[in-house]
Amino acid sequence: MVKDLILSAQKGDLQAFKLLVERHQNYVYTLVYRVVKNQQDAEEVSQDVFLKIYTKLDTFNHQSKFTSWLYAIAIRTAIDRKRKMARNLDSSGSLEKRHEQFIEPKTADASLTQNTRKEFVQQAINDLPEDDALLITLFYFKELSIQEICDLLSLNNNNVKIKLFRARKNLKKKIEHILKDELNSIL
Amino acid sequence: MNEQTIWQYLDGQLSVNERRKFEHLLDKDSDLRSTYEQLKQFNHLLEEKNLVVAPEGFARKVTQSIKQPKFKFSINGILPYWIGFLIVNLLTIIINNGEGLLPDVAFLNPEQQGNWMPFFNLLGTICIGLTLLYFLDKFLRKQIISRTNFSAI
Repeated sequence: MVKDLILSAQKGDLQAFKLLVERHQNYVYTLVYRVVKNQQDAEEVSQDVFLKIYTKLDTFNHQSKFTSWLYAIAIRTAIDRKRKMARNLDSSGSLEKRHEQFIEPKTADASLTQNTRKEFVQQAINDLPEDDALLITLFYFKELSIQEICDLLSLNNNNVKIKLFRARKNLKKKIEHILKDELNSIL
Repeated sequence: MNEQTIWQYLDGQLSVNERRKFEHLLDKDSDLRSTYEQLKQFNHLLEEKNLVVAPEGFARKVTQSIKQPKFKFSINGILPYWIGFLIVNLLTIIINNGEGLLPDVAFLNPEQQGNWMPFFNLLGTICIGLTLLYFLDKFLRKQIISRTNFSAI
C-alpha cells in the first residue's frame, strides 16, 4: 500500500522511500520530460523532485492524493528548471542544440518497429505545446480524474475538455500513419 | 455524429440514453465505426506508449544522493546540545525568580517537607528543556538533510 510506504518513509525509512520512488519514477520522469524535453535534464530534474519530496514528506497530511501532490511538485520543479535554463543559455541557438539531443523525428514509415513507434508517439506528444503535452500525459496516466487534472493544471473543467479534444486532434494528425498501421495489423 | 461525441463515448461521458443512441448508430454507420475504431486505437496507443521509462537504477541514485546525516555519539557532537540545554534551564530558573535553583536541597530539607514546588519546578524545567531540545534537533536534522541533498544535485 502506498499509504503504508509514505508513513514508513515519513518515519525515516529509506527503503520505503526507495519503493515509493520505484513506484512513481516513470510517471514523474514522463511529466518532467514533457516540460524540459531532453533526457539528461529530465533525469536531473526528476531526482531533484524526489529529493524535494523526501524533505517535504512530513508536510504531506494524507488529505489529498499523494500522486496529485507529487505531480504538482514535479511540474512546478520542471517549469522552474526550464525557466532557469532559458535564462542561463546565451542564445536561442544553444537551446535549439540542446533540444536536438532529443529523439530525431522519424519519417512516416509503415514498417516502424514497436520501439520506433513508441519514440514517434513520444516525439509527437513532445511537439505539442507544453500545456497540451502535460494534459495528454496526465490524462493517459489514468491515475487522476478530470477534476484532479483541472486542479493540478489550474484549469476549469470545460477548458480541460476543450484543450483535451484539440490536443488529441493535433496528436492524431501527427501519428495517423501509425494508427492506420496498427489498425491494419488488427483487421 | 462528430468526433467529439465519439471521444465522449470513449471517455464514458455520455448519458445512458446518449450512449444507446450512439451504439445504435455505430451498428448502422460503417464510416462512424471506422472513425470509432481509429480513435479507440489512438487511446490504446497513448495508454501504452505515453509513459517514458526512467533510466535504469534511477531509484538507487535518488536514495544514494540522500545522505542521511550520521550523528555520532561523541562528546563534541552532543556538547552544543548540552550547552543549549543548560542555557534553557538557567533561563527558566531566572524567569522563576530562582525557585528550583537548588531543588534537591529544598526537596530533601526536612523543614520543607511537603513542599513539592521546587521538585515540580525542576520537572517543568526539564520538560521545557527537552521539548525545546527535541524541536531544535528535528530542525537541525532537516536543515542538514536538505543542505547535503541539494548540494549533491
